[in-house]
Amino acid sequence: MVKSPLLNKLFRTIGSTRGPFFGVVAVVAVGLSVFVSMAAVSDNLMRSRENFYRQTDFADLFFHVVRAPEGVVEKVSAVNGVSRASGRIQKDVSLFRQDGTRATLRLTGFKLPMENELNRILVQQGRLFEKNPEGGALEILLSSQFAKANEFRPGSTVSVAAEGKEKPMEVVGIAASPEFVYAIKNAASVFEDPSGFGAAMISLKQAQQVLDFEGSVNQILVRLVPGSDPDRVRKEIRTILEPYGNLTDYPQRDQVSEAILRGELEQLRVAATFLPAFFLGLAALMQTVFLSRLVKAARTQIGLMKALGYDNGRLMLLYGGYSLASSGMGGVAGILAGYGLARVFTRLYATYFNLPRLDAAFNPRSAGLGLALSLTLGCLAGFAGARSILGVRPAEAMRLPPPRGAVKLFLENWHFLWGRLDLASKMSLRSIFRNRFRSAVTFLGVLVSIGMLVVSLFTRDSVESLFDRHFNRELRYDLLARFPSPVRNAELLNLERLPGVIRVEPLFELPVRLMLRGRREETVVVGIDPGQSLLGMSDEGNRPRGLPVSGLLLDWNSARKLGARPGDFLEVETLLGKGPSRKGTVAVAGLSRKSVGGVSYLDLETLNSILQEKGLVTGAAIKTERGRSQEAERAMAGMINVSSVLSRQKEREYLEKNLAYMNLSIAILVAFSSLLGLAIIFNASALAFSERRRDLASLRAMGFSSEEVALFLLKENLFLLVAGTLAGLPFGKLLSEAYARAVSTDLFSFVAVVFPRTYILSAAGGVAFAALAFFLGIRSLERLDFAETVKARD
Amino acid sequence: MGREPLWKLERVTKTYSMGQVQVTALQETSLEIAEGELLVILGPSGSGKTTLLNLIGGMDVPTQGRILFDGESLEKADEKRLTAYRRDVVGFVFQFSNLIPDLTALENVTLGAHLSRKPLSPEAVLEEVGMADRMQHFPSQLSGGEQQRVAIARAVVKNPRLLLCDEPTGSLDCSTGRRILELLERVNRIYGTTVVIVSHNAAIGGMAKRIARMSSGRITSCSENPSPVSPGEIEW
Repeated sequence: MVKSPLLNKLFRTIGSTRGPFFGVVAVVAVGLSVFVSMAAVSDNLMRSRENFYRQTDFADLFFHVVRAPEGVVEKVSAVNGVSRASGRIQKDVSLFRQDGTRATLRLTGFKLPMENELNRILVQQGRLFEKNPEGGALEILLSSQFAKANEFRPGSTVSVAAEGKEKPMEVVGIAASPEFVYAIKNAASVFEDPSGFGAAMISLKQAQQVLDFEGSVNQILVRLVPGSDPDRVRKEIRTILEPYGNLTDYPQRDQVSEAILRGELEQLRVAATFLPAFFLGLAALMQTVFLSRLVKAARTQIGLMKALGYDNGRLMLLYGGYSLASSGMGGVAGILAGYGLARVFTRLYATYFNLPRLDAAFNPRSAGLGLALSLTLGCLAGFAGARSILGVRPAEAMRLPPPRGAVKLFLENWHFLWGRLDLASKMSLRSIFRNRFRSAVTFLGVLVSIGMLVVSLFTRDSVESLFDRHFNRELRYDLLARFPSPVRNAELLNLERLPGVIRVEPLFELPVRLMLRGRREETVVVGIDPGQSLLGMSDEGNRPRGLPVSGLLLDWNSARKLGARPGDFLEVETLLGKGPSRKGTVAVAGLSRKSVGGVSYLDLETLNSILQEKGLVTGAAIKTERGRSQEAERAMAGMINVSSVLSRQKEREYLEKNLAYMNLSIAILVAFSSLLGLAIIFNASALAFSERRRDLASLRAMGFSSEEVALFLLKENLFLLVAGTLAGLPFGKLLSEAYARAVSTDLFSFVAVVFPRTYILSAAGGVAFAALAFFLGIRSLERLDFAETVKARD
Repeated sequence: MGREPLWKLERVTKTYSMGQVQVTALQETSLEIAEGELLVILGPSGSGKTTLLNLIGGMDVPTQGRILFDGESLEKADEKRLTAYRRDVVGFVFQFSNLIPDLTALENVTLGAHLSRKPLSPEAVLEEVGMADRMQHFPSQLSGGEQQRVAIARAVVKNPRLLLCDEPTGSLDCSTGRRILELLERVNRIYGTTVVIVSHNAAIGGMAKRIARMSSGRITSCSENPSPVSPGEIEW
């Protein structure tokens, strides 16, 4: 087949401008790879989640009560708008590990046969527990992440403390549960080591035996009839459950694992929208700028081709084809790279989320959409860049073009400033303003690239400052011991006697329902001694503060939901789950803000008085001698009335180990932002060089050295680089804040913190771009045959 | 030629490789130029004039042969030395003015002045070339002849010992071209600058004190012009 000469010309033009051409290809590829990978990962997650929830019948509403007879499930099922209801028992128990430490197991009892129950489980390994196992052994299944972290497998026997007795249980399988896709104890424990918390599934009958719950349940799950009003149904069910001690109820979206998963999906959605938008938008602008220069430079050729009889359409196709080729090539590269990235990210997510059948499927929808998007932008850029072809008249085009018109700048009226500038600066500034569109694209590219560098690095800053706050200001204890039920203060003496313990401070973690003007909020109030020193508190402006003399230090998020302000009186209903529920009133004395989760603080004595008790505690914060916290933790292993022990050091180690995901994202984002910056500068340098060839050659002929001329060339980009970098830093801060807002949920308030270090590193990016521009200038100048250039006509 | 030559080209050959083809642009050419003279090199296009000019001006080095400036050989000089030579000794005027479009006439000339250790005053030179009232204009606001005047001023302001002009009237109409030649003659006369003009236009030879003719990469003749005419009288 004989190739059309125009097609040949297109290929040769690409060949002779391959630098800038591949610059655009790279930017398109990055944009599309981010789009395709994020969309694919989010689609994969979403699809696995939907399938899993459907397969296991994940409930719409959750109700926790103190204790209700099994028969109540029937009553709940009969409520108008309820399609199905399940009753079950769920309770936290302690598991003793080989090394003497303990882990918390959330033990859930399932009614057999399971087919019609809600929140069913999916057996991934081993088998399901039996209704009546031989010999009456207690059979459980464990969640996979927990089993893996603790090296339990089907056949292992674990030792569990429940209701004050130690019981062996046999692990018969590993299972996935929709409420433990992300297994954490509660919203406040996102920082805790997952090997310390897991889900265990058991038959309802055995759960009732172990937990002393014969004939009763403590949770009701509800599936709604589609279209029914959840709020009305919730209210009705609450009334039915009222006599059994309503502890809390929430819809699926507030279930902690689902909330975290949804938050992650939201982050992905944000990333999949704003990152590719930047890249593809800039790629289109770069194409437009480059094409219009290409068309301008080929004015004579275009005139000649028109004189030969080529029409506008075919010539537009030729130059438009140039940008289509770069978009198409970038698109295909981006899709391939995106698929690779999607595999890496999906594998990473699979280690955090226990979603069965989560795999990196190729996503034709996002790939097709991405390619269509980049080709459309390529078309638009092609048209915008090549439209000046339409105005070329053959006779005119073959005449020598007049010198490029220069403009006087407003700056020139400021003589004190203008007079101080050297000629290269004057020349560069005039050129910047003459080529406004091109300069704007370069400026914008640098701005976005620097801004994105700030965003890439700020995650680290924010997490570091969160760590600092959490570990150095809020948690001043080494160990936090919790008891399965409230005990007398005097019991703490046992803890004080443990090896290495310096100080033990009592606390009472009381789940409550707070009410104000018809609004309600379930939260935890921590009762502490006014003179305590192991729990750090901050006010809403993040300034450290102490416990108020009287009244409640209310969590700011709860305050927001309740519409409460200092001075308001809140009704308090205790939701301890043991003993009668008490009601009282407490004044809001101030607001508190924690780095993760939200708790309110109250004087321990006042809290006891609400419970109509005296001297009760549910746990203790413990300070040990340096390096002896593990010893103390091990010593607590034998104490049956300690249900769990949290170690600050372990928590910290776990977190630091688990920043791999964050570091990977940061590395990828830094690489992408730098690539964008480099491509922008590369293209800007190539353009400036191609336009200034003649000027530069004449400077060389006059006796300026290569380096001096390269500085001339650099100046123009340098002005834009400095301006772009200076504007990029605050832009990055704004982006970081917007990002933090977009990914903040009720569970975590992500505060954008940007350390000076990040600004310095990002600005260093700008310096690197400048160095590149200078280097490219030198290289091009060395290749420039200036003797030939000064002689030739354009 | 009565004076001691300042530039000496001895059997200079220049070969270019154009892809796979070797092109010999200049073949064993010898030439001497004395300080202060006005030399016109004539020849049809492709005869090697520009190559010769580039070699004299330190824009290029020969493949063979020697080029001496004031006794110093330039043929083996490195890029740094050649740059310094161009900066200190040579001024170029091309067929196209090659002015920097983003600088005014005065700024373009000042750019040249910055290069020199003993520059002339840019304003004075511009006045000398008849551009006193257009100093603040950008190249795009000047006619072709005016642009060429500024280009000459930019070359002259460095106070070079040698002014090399490659087809300086090539893109100009006849009367404008004549005025440019007058200007070059004045520069030679007033400042004592050695001026070498390269042209395919034989009429220009009339103004020179010496004329070299070139053909196929060689100087075919070199003759004194006993009675140079004023450029104003040249017709073409």
